[in-house]
Amino acid sequence: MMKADVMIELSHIEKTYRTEDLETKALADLSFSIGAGEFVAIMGPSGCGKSTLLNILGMIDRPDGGHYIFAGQEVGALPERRLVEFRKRNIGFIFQSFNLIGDLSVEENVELPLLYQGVKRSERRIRVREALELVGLEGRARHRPAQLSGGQQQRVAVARAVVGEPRLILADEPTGNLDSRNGEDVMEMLETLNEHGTTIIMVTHSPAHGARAGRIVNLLDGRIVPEFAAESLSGLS
Amino acid sequence: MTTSLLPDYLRWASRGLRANPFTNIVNLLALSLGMAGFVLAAAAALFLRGTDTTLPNASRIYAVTQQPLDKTSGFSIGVIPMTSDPVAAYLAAEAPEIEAVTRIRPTFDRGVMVEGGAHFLQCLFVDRSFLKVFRLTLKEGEAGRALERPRSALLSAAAARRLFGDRPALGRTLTIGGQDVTVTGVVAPPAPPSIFDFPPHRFDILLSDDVGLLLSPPLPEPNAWGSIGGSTFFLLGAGQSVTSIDARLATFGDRHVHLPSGTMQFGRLPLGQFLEGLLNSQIRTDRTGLSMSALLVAMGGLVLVVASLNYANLAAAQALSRLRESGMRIVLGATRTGIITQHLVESGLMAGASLAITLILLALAAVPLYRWTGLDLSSLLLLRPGFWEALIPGALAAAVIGGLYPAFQLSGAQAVAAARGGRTRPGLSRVTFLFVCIQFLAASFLLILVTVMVRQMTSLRDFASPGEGDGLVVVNTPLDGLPFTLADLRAVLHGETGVLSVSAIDVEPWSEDTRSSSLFPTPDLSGAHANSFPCSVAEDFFGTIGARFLAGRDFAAERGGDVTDNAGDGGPAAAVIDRSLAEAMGWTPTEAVGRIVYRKVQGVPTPSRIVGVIEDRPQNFLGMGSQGYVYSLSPKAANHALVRLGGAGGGPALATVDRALSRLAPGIPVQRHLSLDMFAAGAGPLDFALSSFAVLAGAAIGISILGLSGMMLHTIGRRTQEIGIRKILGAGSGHIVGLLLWDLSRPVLIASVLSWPPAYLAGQAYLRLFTQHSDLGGGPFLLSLAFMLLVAWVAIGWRFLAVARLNTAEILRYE
Repeated sequence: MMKADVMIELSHIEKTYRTEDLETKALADLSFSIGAGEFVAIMGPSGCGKSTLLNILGMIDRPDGGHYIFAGQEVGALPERRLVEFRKRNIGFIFQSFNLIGDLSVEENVELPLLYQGVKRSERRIRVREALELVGLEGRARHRPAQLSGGQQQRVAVARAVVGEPRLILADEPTGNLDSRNGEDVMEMLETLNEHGTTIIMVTHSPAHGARAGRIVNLLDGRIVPEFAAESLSGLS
Repeated sequence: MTTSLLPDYLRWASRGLRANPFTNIVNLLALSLGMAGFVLAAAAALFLRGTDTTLPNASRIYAVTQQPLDKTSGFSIGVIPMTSDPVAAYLAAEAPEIEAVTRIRPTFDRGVMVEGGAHFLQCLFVDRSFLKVFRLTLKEGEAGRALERPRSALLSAAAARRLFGDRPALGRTLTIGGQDVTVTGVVAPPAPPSIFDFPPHRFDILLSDDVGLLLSPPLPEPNAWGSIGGSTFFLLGAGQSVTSIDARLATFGDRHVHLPSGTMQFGRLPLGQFLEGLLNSQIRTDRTGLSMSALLVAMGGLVLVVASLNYANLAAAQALSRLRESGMRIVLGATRTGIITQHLVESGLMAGASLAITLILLALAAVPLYRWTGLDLSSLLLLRPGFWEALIPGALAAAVIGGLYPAFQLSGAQAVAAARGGRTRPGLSRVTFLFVCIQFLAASFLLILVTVMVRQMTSLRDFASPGEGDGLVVVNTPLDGLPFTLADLRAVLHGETGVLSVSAIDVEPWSEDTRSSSLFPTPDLSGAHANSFPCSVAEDFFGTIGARFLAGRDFAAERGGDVTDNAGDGGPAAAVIDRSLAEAMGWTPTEAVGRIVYRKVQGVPTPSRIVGVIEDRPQNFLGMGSQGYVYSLSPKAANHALVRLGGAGGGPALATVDRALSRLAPGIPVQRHLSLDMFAAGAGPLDFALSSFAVLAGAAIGISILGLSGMMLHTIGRRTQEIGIRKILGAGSGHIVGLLLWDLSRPVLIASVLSWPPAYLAGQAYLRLFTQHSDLGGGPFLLSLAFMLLVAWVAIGWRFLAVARLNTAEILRYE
């Protein structure tokens, strides 16, 4: 039986990428669990499988083998439609390259997850405004992404990730394209969200940012190498 | 949930359309062209199938069709919506289900004397029932009595205005062929489209049949069955079923037509389909199963499909840049159905905008189209409720067809790839290539057909003049209705400057005629034979029309046996055949001369001796299954004089002919036309088909070029980095242009070659409609290929040149 405070349990997860003449094992027999409200950093060198793991955790990719249980629900076998429903109600995403839609304004970008959740228009307005206030961009609601700096775009991405009030936020190198000041702002936002009970899983190359997570999952060649306490890793940095 | 997102889809779609103005304008234009092509084709089909639908009782009016059938050979000239004269009387006598039957006998333009002036007017002989079947509106006179009195004449409103201006026409006297008739009514123009606006029913005057009996007595039976020159319409009684008429018509021929050589089959056509029935008889729908309206709609549909594919192609190319966005939407919770719906909404908006542009284009084209072809778009389409019901689903269908492919492509966007932030693999190139190929295949097919049609019409037009720059005058008024003979005309014109020769033929050149006669090489009338178009001519005929002898000799009146009118006196009559008929009989021109051939006359083999073979020189459009011409010397039957005028003195010589006719027939209007003018007038239905196909081909080519332009611009966009690298590695501008031109030319080349087999079959089928036709050859195919390549290169090549000339740094900056 799974413990009540465990949000994610992965067991024996496998993922292999195949091309015509090449087979690359991205994840091999990966097992670990993440509790509700945790802030976990996933670290490791390039090509170790961090982003693949994040995609599987975010249910935008499926493992080739193993089990993925989210909040007590085995999601690995869910049909696509239910998976979409499950994902959009539970998970928010933040990407290194922001992935904002250029044709839409800031508020329209933030509104998107609510639209797909079928939230009423009046409620959408309120929640979008709150999300933009949270990231300090209420004055930029009508701007297009191209009119914003990189840091501002990532804040919009944070607002978009939180607006649906997800239980889990997956952040893939959220500070990777930002300068140190903007990176620091984003990290503070993530910490704040975590303090309010949102589970955060963050992929990062930065030991300093990783050290601010409660736990680090260290990957190498698709496998977990022994976990470190954040405190011990901060000493390394 | 999808429904609740519709306003957002609309918002995003309109924004997406504005974001790529060039591609979307290309798409809009192409879709509009496709829709306009389809609507025009549908309009033409409606035009052909919707004549006189607003007349009272139109749904109960039918035309009787007749199909002559040779008992022995099974040869038929097809189902014709015209009949022999006796049909109307028999039908009226035996069918109580019928409320009224009317017989219409077209005649040539007749000279009409009015208040001392002479006018040529198109006359129809009609019986008393005419106005009972066709309840035309009279501007003057009483519809119930207008044809009751003997020697009645109903004028068309245009003819009344021409003859009498604003004065009333009722009660006035006209003299036609020496007979006085009284105007008893003036007919208001029927609502278009109407059979009374087109030959053979276009009229200036409707003359009561008693006048027709005097001026043009119908043939007695059984000979009357050999001539199918009039039409029979009947009005079915209210509440009566037409199936009982069908049963009567099925056995009508067996009961009434008693010919030794053949039989007749009868049927009926709704009044609305009369015009199409006429065209169908020419394209031999009875054999091919293809009706003209079906052909038009199929061709229009083809153009619409080309436009839809073009849209699919360009939209798919645009989708390349939106794959990541779609992937992101999927990450954020959009379903694949939602993505498809979003894209289809965009296609729907595009279709709506195209529809609006189509309507504007059609409104702009309406007036020139009416002047050019007689197609009245407003009455055909806009005022018909069915038009909107058909057009809107049609436009939506185009949008769905065009939008589905890119929609599915976008719905397949990989969320993982979007999340990774890299480029998503488009995987469109093969399908895109296929779409472009299909577009060009359709365009090339239509272009080849149009080229074949134009060549055929051009070669026929060449036959309408004697060659060497000379002109040919046809005296339309039959000689047997004039106070002079061909010999008199010859005598008067003899020695006149510019007049080269005078002869005559039994049927006016370039008028439709349904004659056909089987020609047998032996007296065995059940054996092999060829189908021929028989012509009776006067002496000097071949020289007058400019026909060249390949073998044998011309007719000579001094040889008594040459004259068919004297046949029986001294052996077989002489005959001259053309090269095509000789080939159909299996002979070379030289082999043919001296042979005896047999025609079936009253079921008996009647011999003729071939004295000469001429190069093909048809004087008619369609041969109705005939394989060549057979001429006999019969001055009595040759009723239409022909005068060949020298090119240099054409104008003055024409005046000389007019003076001669006035001198020979003082006070009698004699009509004459140049053969080329008669060709132009008679080419109407073929020109209609040619114009329709040309418009559709033009639309298909335009759309294909637009599509290819859009595709190539996208290609350039995608290949700029490659171009830059090639230039760094030493490629010159010429090499780059050549590379891109090859990319551009490949789909055009492949599509053109693939279009050749179906175009060959269709071209052959078209040419087989004509007795004499140009060889299909390779010309149209190569011409079409060259034209397509040239247009593609000119349309897009300039862009290649500009890209190839950019400096490398500039090119790489794009990336």
